[in-house]
Amino acid sequence: MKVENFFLRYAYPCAYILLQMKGISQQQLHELEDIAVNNKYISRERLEKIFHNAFHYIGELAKKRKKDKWSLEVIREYFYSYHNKIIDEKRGIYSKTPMMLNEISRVEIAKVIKKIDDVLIVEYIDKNSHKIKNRNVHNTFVKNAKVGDSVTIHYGYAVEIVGSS
Amino acid sequence: MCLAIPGKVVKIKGDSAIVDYGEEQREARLIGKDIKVGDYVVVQNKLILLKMPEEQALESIRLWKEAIQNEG
Repeated sequence: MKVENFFLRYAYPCAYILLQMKGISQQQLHELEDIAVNNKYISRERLEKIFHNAFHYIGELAKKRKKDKWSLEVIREYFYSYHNKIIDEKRGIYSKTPMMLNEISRVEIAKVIKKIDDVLIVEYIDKNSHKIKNRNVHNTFVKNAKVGDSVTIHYGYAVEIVGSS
Repeated sequence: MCLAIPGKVVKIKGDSAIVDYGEEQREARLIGKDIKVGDYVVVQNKLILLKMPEEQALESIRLWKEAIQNEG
């Protein structure tokens, strides 16, 4: 998978927020989903324009690592850990937001405990309460995920299968 | 920013709920959740992800309104 598509799969759940804030149209949202699901071409310029907040922090991380912001290593580290660090340190908007919203904004590793049609019910450990929580997520990007698999989750989507039962 | 806006469940019909966002109402799937009328929920792409405590939901809605005003 190309780095642009890897980025988009993780960033896609946030496109709904951009839609609600009228940053993108419904048609653009559908187009982004099609690109993300089918690994179609999308330019870096377009992604940087749509997800400019994420690229502010990715640029910061790239500078620290002395790497290009579009290196897969930097984009991976951003979604696997740096993104959560920003939330945990309550930077920017996260300084004001309720704990539960910050919780669903984090990228977590979760276990699939049930599959109902195109929905996965997953379990994960909430970092703040250390309790096991569950959430419904779409399986759009991990159609072959099954009960017992470990997946990364971001907001209402499972993004990658990272372990199999 | 990557934050969700919670809504209030105003009606349940079968496996779906009608969620009120103030200016509009939308239908969302319930799947596996113990949700009742009056609960606040977070929805994405017509799926209820989770239930949110009222206090946190109201604070989130307030922040959303503030963010939208700032954007405008």
